[in-house]
Amino acid sequence: MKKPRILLVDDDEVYLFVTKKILSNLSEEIVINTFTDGEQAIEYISMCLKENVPLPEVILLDINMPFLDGWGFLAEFKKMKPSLSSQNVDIFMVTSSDDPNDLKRAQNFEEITGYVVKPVFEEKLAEILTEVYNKKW
Amino acid sequence: MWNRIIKTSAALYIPLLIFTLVWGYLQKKELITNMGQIQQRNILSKSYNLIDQGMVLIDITSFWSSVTFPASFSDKNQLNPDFLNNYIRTMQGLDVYEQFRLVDLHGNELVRYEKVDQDSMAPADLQNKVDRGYFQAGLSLRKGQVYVSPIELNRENGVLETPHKPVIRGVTPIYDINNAQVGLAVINFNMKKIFDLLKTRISGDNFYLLDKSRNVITTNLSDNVLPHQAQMSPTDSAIKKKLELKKLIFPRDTFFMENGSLWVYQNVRTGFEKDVGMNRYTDMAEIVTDNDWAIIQEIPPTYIRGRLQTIRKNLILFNILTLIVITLIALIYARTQREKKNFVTQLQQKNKQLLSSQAQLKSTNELVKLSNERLQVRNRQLENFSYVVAHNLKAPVTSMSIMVDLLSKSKDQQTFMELFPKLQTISNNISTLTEDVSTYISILNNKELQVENVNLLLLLQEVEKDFVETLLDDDAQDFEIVYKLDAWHSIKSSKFYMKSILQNFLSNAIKYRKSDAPSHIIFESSWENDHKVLYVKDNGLGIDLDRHGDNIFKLYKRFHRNISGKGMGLFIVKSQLEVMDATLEVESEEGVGTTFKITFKRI
Repeated sequence: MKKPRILLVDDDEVYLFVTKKILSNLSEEIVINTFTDGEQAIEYISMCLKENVPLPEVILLDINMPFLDGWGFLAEFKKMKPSLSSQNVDIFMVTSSDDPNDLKRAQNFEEITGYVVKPVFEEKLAEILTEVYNKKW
Repeated sequence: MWNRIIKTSAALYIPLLIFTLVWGYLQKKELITNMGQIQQRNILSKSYNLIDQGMVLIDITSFWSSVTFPASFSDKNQLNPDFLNNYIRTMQGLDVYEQFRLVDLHGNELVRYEKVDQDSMAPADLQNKVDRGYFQAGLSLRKGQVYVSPIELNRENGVLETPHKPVIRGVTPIYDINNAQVGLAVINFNMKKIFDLLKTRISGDNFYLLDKSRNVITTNLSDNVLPHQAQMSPTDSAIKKKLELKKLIFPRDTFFMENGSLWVYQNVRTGFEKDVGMNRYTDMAEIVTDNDWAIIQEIPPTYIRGRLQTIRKNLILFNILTLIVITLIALIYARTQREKKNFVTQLQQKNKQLLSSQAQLKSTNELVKLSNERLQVRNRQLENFSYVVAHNLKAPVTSMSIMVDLLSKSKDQQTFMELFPKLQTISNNISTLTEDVSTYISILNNKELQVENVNLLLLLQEVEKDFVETLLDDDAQDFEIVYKLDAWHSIKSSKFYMKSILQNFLSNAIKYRKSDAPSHIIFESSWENDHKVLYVKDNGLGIDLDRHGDNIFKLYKRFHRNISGKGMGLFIVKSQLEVMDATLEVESEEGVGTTFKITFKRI
């Protein structure tokens, strides 16, 4: 069985550390990649497409980041979508913002699977993973 | 008010006055013409009376030219006494018949009868008339001719008879059986009675009978007859003078106004009708005379005035009534005008009030608009703040809560050791964030912003000095600061904020310059739509606005990975500008440069 791949994009290092830790606790098999801004994440994905590296199945995407924020990432990702072919990527917005404007904006992106307000506890992460991977397997 | 009434009345009344005057004049003229025509008819009938008198005289006189006298007729050889007596008896009944005489060729009277009473004649003492005009005129007559003398005062024995007696004489030559002239027959008519008839008045008129040389023969203004032949009294002189009328230079039948009187003139000539061949004079004797009389009738001013009185009264009455009516009309008109004027004044006043309240409303509107704009800015600032709270403030808190959760679940020492340093990071983050937010809040809450006239040029030079060290670095040698502040160089603003803003722009331009080309920043002032605008242009790295447009003025946003920065500068610049009622816009192209446009809403 293929190992699940998860991409964490957030400028909050503490968040990245903690989430990574929780995910490792949930399953040792999960391959986790982290980036501290959208730009790096997009560069990684385009690299994956170029090198034929399988894309992560799940992306936990923060909104508020330097250089390229979550929205910017989504816009760029949308441009790449035609070349994704059959690969399915579930993007979850994970943000500390409970701003209704952000939620509304998120609903306009069909690429987004879910909207999660921080803090993301272990249970929530488990729920997300279950939802994604149960669908697939 | 009164001025207006008088003006209006005059405007209405003067044409009416002119009309009434013309009308009055025409009425007067018509009246005078009317009177003149009546007078002319009256005069004409009077002149017929006079002429008829003459005709009777001529008729009676010419009888004697056909009587055959005895040969060598003289006082010795008299006319048949019966014939003479019968003649006298017949003639004494004629009241004007005054004298009958037969005169020989030497002027000696052969027969003389005089009127002695109302209707009786008697023989009188014979006289010689050789030196009298009528005798001389009679001598030159041919057979059948009759001489009519002028009207004269009667003289007896060369002396004026008193009381004066106006007479007219008919003279004709007489002949004997041998058809030899033996003398003259002379008949005197007394003119007194006919004069009395002529002098009757029909309408207060004065009557004058004049002879050829305009001497008064008789008039009803004086008792004297033919005064120029006797004694001229002052009255007679005055009358003669009065009759020297300018309009009578050429004597023709007419009437006219002169010296306030109406004068009617008519020529009277004995035998005139015979000359024009009127029937009743066909068998008339041939007349010899130099009588040219004229009748003048004068209607004196007093009488004319009396007749005109009615017209005048009517005119005055009409004018008074008209004036009253017109004054009333003018009064009403003036009152309406005044009310109208008052109304207009009130209207104007109201209009002025409306205009002023409109102006007030406008200024209030502008105030409302301004506060509205400020509120919108404030709203945006609040949104920004809530964004900062939602994204930046909440982040460490959520991290912390999840860490606490992890720590509480974990029992092993290793986890604790791993997590503890992260708490330090969070704590540092929070403290930085707190400081930055507090800076932002202080900008938002600065209610009493110290505004002064800030000279941009001086301020820029001051800021430039602070960067001298940076610019002295080897890398920064090709950095140029350009000022184009001709349009304006002074702005009412907070000097502290302006300095901070300019510092930020300058520092950004230096930080994000291209390393491979000479760099510059241009500060350029201009006017746009009555607003002061400041452009800050650089030829630096530029920003991809398609990607970052939304975030360019947001907190902790950075666009250039390799250059250190906090993502605070433009956020603070925008906030400070908004507090000063200025807006900030940006245009940028990667690799070309960035242009910031600051529009100051306050001048």
